Amino acid sequence: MRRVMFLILALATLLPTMAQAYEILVLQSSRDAGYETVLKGFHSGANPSERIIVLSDYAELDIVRIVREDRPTVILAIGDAALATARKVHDTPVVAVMSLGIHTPASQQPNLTGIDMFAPPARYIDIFKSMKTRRVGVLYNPARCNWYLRLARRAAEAAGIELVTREVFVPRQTIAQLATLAGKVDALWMLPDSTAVTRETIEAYFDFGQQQNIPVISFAANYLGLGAAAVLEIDRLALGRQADSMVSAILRANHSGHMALGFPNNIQVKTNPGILRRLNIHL
Amino acid sequence: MSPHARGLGIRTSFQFKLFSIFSLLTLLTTSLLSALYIINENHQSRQHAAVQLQLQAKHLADASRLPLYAENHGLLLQLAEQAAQSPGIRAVVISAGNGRVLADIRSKGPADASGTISQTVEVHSNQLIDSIEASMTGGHDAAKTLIGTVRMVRGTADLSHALRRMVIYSAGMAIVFWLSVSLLSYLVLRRVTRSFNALMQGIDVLQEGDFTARIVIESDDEPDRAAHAINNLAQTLQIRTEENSRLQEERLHLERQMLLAQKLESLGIMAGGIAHDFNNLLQAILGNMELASSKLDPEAACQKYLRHATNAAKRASLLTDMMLTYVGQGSSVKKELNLNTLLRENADMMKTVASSVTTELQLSAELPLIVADEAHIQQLVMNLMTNAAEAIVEQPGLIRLTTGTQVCDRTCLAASLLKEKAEPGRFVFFEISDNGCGMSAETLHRLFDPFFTTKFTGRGLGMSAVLGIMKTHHGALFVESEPGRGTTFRALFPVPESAAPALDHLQAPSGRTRMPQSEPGKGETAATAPDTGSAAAGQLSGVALVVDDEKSVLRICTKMVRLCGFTVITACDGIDAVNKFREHCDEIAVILMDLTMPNMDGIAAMGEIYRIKPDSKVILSSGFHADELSERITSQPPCGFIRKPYCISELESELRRVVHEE
Repeated sequence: MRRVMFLILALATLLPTMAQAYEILVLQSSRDAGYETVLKGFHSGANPSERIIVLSDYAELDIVRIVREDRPTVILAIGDAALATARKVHDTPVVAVMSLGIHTPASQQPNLTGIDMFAPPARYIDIFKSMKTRRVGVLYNPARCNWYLRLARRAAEAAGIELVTREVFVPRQTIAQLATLAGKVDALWMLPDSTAVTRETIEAYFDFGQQQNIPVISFAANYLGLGAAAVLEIDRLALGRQADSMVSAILRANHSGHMALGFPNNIQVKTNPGILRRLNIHL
Repeated sequence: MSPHARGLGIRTSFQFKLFSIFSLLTLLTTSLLSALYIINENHQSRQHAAVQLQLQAKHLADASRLPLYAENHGLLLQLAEQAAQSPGIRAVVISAGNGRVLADIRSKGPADASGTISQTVEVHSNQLIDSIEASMTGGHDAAKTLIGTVRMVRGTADLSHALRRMVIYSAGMAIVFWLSVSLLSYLVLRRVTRSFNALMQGIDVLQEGDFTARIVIESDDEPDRAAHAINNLAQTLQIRTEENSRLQEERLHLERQMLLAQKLESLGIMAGGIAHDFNNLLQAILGNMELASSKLDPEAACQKYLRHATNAAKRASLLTDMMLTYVGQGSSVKKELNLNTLLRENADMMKTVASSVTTELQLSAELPLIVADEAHIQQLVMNLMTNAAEAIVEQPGLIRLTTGTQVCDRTCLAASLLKEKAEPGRFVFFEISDNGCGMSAETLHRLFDPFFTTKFTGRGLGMSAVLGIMKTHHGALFVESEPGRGTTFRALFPVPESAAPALDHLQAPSGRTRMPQSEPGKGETAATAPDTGSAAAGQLSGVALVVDDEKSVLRICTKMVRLCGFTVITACDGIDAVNKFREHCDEIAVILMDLTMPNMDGIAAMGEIYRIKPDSKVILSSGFHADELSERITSQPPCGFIRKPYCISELESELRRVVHEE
């Protein structure tokens, strides 16, 4: 009888603990299709146990308490909001995907890794090279994209292409800076810089391209319809699989050390045939 | 009809009221619709202008999104100036999101007091473009970012001008429409109310009393059906009115006839009473005169005076006869009579009476005999001839006497002056025409009124007698007269079926009637003196009962009966007579009894006497004619009748006839 009572108490104490035990805490910013695609790619592997929290479903979320109570092995943050939440956790590895702010120098922290939203510069340079452009105009915020510009200049020099850069520190400067590029560039390179490219200034890029009769190369397929000649878009499913690989590597290493940020592996080139035809460009 | 009354009639007419209502309703409807149309058009044009202004502002907002975001003043001013060049734009203001004005362009045109329309458009980030985060994550960024505002102001002077033009145009169209509808309404109403107007006109005519008018019926609508009913009503009223008029005329005619009958009856009663009393008096006078004459030597000088007095009393007796004749109560003895002879004798007499008047005879040679009372015809001719002679004021005059025959139908006889029209047929006429002063219409109208006369002398009964005589003979009388042109009387007598033509040589001139010399103008006739010397009393004897309430008459009659040979018992009334007859019934041979008496009249007393002794010989005596007496006696008639006044010879012959039953 004493044994039975002990067994009941043990089960009552241990079973809930066993039920809440998981290795991966997935923080998803919202239920946007892009995030869902990434999550789908993430699930394509043999993932261990996980818990998914969609932040847009909660008015307020105490991530620190959850992590302290649940003790996940790794946190997968999908989107900028998820990354901002995950930054509150300092002793659990965080893998960030679909986040533009992952490369901000001020936000560097040891438990944070992930995959950039920037395609490798060489891929853009290859496109410019195939377009036979010599001067490519780039607008950027040094605080955000200086690291990327260094890589880009190096790749451009290797390919014999001149990057004509303009720095913008606030979005209103974009239009004026664009105007300074008139007649000085053969193509315009849009970077996923949230200072240089905003909803208000995107039109200016394509107006400029239309006025200067030069191609605008961008980073999202949405902009093909607005006037981009070609885009290098990240394959979100592949991005999810790439994140799964990083999470698996962290789990295998058992939280042994810092992992470097990586470029997305699978980049798709999409073009606007009409604009290319009008600009007489063959890719 | 006065213009005021005509205007009043038009204003109160059904057509005018309907037309006024239609016109007023049309005017109100047209005005209301025009006003609503103008208000709606004004609202639409202002709304359209506002929408256009908003589109312009949106266009400017789209164009200025990037410069506004970049706060490019120069470009914004340029855009605003371009926008301000559009017609009617008075101000373009571009402001940043925080309200700071970046461009403000005002029109330099003259101030317009007509008002303005303002539209403000917010400039947002392009919602078709996603942020880079949304573009990379595949989501959609629905948040809008206010970049600034664009406000455009335009004047409404052009709208006001267009509104004025539209008001003028609409008012003109409304007036034309109203006039057209009113004209059509007038034409339609005139057609629709034609029958109604005809009905009302007909009713007006009927109200004025003209029931012969009829309403013209053109269709079968309600007014025409009412008009048909009113026509029927008018016809009924017309018939009733005519019948009323006819009845009124008949009533007046009956009243006149009744009045005349009452007059004649009163006159007859009066004349009868006077004749009775006169005859009683005359009986006393004549009887006494005759007795006085019989007592005197026939050669005595005073016999002549007694004879004159006797003649005058007898003429007075004839006068009473005439009085009865005037009122149709006179006795008549009709026989075949030759008018030519009668007229010829009267013409001769007229020559002696009025020598200055020429009498011309135009007598028909083969004139049929008529059946008439000679004395009446004599009186008729003398009355008319006397009147003709007296009508001739300026001497010499002419009186033409004409006889002849003629055939008359009802139409011809309708003009007869007699109320009782003669039966159509063949007539003998005599005509007396003169060239005297003639008669006025008023005189003609009162020609036969009793006691109406135009002369200083006379009784005014001559023409009444003429009328009574013609009525007695069922003839016709015509008169033609004109003041200053003379008068013509024509008297018609019906020709009997067995009438023979008159032969003048067979007709001896009548010696009974002569125009009295003393009264040539009155038309009365006088009888010749009777033979009084033939009374033979020796053959009669016995007891005679003489009854009369007049003592003088009783006295003279008693003497006359005695002279005839009777012993006389007298009685003063009917009761006395019956009592005395009862006492002496066996010895009384004959009873001479007055007709009219107090207590018991002669007829009642005669009845009592007959009851006492049915074979009694009763001779009634009266101032009335025997014809009237016969109407009053319904039982056993008297054995004889003698009319007062009578002479001894007449009494003796009547007594002899009765006593000896001759």
